[in-house]
Amino acid sequence: MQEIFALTLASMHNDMARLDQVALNLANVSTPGFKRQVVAARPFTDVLQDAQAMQSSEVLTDTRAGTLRTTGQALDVALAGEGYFEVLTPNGPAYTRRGNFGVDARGRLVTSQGYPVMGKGGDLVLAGRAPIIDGVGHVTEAAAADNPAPAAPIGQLKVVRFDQPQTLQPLGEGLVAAGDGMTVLPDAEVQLRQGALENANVNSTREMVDLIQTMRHFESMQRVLQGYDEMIGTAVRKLAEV
Amino acid sequence: MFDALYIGATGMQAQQLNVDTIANNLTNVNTVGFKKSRVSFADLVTGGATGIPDGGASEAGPLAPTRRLGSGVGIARVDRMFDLGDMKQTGGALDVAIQGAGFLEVTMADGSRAYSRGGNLKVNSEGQLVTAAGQVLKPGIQIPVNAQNVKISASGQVRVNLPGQVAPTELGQLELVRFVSPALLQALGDGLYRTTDGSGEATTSRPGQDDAGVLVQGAVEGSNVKLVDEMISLMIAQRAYEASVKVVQASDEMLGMVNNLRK
Repeated sequence: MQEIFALTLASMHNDMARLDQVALNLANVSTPGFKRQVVAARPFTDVLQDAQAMQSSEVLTDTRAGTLRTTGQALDVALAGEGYFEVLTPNGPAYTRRGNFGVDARGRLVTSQGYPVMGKGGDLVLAGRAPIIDGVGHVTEAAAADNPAPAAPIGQLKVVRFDQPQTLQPLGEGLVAAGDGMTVLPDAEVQLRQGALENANVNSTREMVDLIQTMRHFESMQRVLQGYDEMIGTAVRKLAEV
Repeated sequence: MFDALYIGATGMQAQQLNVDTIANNLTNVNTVGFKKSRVSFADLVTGGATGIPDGGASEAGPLAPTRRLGSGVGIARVDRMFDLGDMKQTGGALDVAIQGAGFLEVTMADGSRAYSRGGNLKVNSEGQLVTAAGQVLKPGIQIPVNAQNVKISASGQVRVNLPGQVAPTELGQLELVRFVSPALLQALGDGLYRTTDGSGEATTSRPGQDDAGVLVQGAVEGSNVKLVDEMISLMIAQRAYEASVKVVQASDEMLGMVNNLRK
């Protein structure tokens, strides 16, 4: 008879985890390049068959692109299509869709955390002037007003894609770890927009509905548990009366 | 115990800072030479906010059936945006605006160096050219008491007419400095900025060279705050704050239900 307790307990834990995801998605509603995360629950029978999996649910990333927001800043770059920028962290390469870049003291193009953004030929070093970034990632330094020399090419942003973007492991701060099947996107498939940022793909209506649904489900599980508790209580009392 | 509460709290804190920043931008919409700030958000992940891969460690087990990933939102940094504001004609002889990315170097009261975007300059009691808040420009320009008709050329030469002389007298040359990464300059108030490790050292050049910009006499640079953008950001920030409040309320109610499991 104890399995009803176990079932409701697992179910309530699932609801709490789901609420955590709703909270995370809503907290990041204005984080550029953020991808909402969803808890995908699996039927218990599946979990039983797959003895390797200790988890009855898993967290997946919704990789649909967010809308673009114009900022007018020369160092904001949005990916209008698929793909990720490569950045170099102290722990090796990581990937991000968040394009609010800056320039560090050495003139390198860096993310807002200060990790250098990789071009196809390594670091992209700007001479301190606002660069021009075209639709496929060629970075050129705008010519100085008093200098008749043509714009100097600096490099090309490296944009990569993965076979299974939903399962990439988030590292925080908009970064994801490398996954399987990484390929560098050919120029024809890269779509960059300078002066724009990708909004989070969080839809607050959907998150609110999820929130209500989760709460009500939790509530009904609570009732089930209470009802069962009463049943056992009654059984214990009545049986004792005999 | 219950992550959603804390995640909601990080969301509220982050949006609070966002509203503070927007409020500061809005308050300074008419401040000469003001540069707006922008908050960069970053999502946090349990196991370190420094981008350290945690090897996929998850709290597996019957009591923690779900990999917990998120722990909310944080502030990556607050950037200052140095795009140019609109030039406003004032006609004042000592009003100087910089059309370009350069800064004027000034000496602070304690002898350290700071950088200004120009504005309403004036002459102090010792005849030196100073900023509106009284910091002496570097290189210093000494303006004689009887000088008339101060002219500051686009390339930074300061000339005056002295009584009894037909040709103008050159008093000195204003210089501009540039930074590799001005977004990371530290603001000191009064339109002054100081270098940080992130901004890089100042490189000096003459106005009109190396993209430092040219000087415009008789004009000041308005703030680069765009009212419409800020109002929209404010609305979004307010609603995002509200959403996090709802999450906190919901978590609280769920905790209440847990406590009421046993009647």
